[in-house]
Amino acid sequence: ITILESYEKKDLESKINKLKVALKWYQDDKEHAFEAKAIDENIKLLQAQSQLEKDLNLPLIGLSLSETIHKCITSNNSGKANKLKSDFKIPDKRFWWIKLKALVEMRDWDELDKL
Amino acid sequence: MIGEYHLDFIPFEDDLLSLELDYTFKELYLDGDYTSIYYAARALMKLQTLFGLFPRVLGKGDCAKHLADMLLRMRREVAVDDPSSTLVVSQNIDSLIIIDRSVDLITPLCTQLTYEGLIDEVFSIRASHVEVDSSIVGPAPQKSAVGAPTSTSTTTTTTPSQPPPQPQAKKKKIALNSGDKLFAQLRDMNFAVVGSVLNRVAKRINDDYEGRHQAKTVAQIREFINKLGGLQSEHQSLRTHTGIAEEIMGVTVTPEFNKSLEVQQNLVAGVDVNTQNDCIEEMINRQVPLVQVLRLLSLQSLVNGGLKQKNFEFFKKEILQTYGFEHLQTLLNLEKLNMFVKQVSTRNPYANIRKSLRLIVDEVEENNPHDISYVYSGYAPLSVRLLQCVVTKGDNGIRNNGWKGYEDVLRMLPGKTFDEVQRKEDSVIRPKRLIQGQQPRVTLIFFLGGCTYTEISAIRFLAQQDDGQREFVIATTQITNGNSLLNSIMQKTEHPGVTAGTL
Repeated sequence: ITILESYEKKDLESKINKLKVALKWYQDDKEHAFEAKAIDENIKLLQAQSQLEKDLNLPLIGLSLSETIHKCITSNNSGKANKLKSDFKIPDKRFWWIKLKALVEMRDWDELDKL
Repeated sequence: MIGEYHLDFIPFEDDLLSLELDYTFKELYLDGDYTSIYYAARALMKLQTLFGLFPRVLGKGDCAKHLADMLLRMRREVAVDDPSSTLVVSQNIDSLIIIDRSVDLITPLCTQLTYEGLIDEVFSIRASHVEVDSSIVGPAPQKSAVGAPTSTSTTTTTTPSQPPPQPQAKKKKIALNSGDKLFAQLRDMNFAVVGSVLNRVAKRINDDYEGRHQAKTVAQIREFINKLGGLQSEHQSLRTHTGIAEEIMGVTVTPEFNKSLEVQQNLVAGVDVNTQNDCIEEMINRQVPLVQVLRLLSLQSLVNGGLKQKNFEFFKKEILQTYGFEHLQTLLNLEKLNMFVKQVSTRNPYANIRKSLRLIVDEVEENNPHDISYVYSGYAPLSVRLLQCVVTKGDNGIRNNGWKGYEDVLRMLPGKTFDEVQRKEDSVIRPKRLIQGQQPRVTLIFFLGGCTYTEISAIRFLAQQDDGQREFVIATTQITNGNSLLNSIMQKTEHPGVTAGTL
């Protein structure tokens, strides 16, 4: 089960490939439907992050999903943040927490007021 | 040349021995690596050669059983190797009780509320030393007066659960042992009363200082000067502990601390789960350190025999998305250890155990405790309650009736139960308990997989009851708490920024 060694891989390409191997393993096993889904999401996150890195010129890979959203907001890319939210089906509650924190950090009181 | 180095017990106090093997919990229960059982057996064997055979070996838990079997085997091997060196049955030690950490995982997950326990939770104690910011404890005098400080200041960059210290912040190492009289007095108390005790001591020291005005004659002055050295060291120790207590107070008044404590207390008391779930969800959203979240979730899983499928998957998803997908492994580890699982049946053994062992005591007097539950302000550590089963008198007034009368409870807990009698091979008759009268009997307790400071405090409390008829010596593989326990099984992440709380 410890194919999660992929985290040791430095470059993105081999990281994703490793994860795909792990995904196959889990998909073959009905017991581990949750794990399979989680790894699948992880791959999607890495892909999204690499795309965002190109677009925003920010280091994102290695961050968690919430942290990625946080970064998007603090760099004035709320649109991207909203897209991540819907792509990964993030519950509203958590999304607002992240947004709140990010806006406070930026001292963007106007935006905060609008919420 | 490869030799074997026998790891032995390191004595911390008169009644506390530790092997200081930090990862036994993970090794034994997650990796299935039993090396530490072997070390433990060697060390216990050594005690037997020094003090005689333990007349009785009792315990609970599968790994504990392994240890007992290994111990019995080693003893037979010694007898075969060297028939002349027959060990006699110990006159002082009446039994060895082995408690397996897997039997009681609930206790270490609760936040410890004794003074020493809280120091451990807030600053983490390593080998009975704690490192704190030197600003907390005030300037150290040239002659170090505290206990037996082995080292001066060292520089470290970070300590978990502390406000981000300045780089190069001076750290001071403080020895925590009974050489420090004030600490000896405070360590096992519930933190709620520490403040008033410190206050009282401060008053007394002040009075003693004032005593110099009364000194009129040369003899009286000399007497005062003689006392002065002691006073000064007391004074220093008072300053240290006031500083530490203040720092802890700073943590215990935070809403996060109180909220998580409230959740814990409700969980162990079996109060409705749904409100606790909201609290935990909020904690995740606030991105408190993952280890705190896991402590509560594991606790919830343990006391309810698992989480409902919907909640289980919800929390797992929340954790992965908030703290990073690499924690999938952490979650799998917890599942493997049965600490964070999906509910399979509605049967919940913990509810019964709680009732039959009286784990929850409503009326607690922290000032003047009459039950071990004072250490967690209402929750009596399960592990120590089990000990009480063995060591308290049975109905017929005969001690040492072992697990008798508690079979039902024991069956509900995981792992094997055992009770073996050791005697000399050739003589069937056990040596008569002669000169019993004066010497209190000693019971050796061994925690396999670690014990917490709070459990130690609870056992010391037991020793004070019972008219000093029985002494307890605690031996353990390591001293642990919820954080160190969970940290050992958490997936380590190397990339920066993923450690929670950076946002």
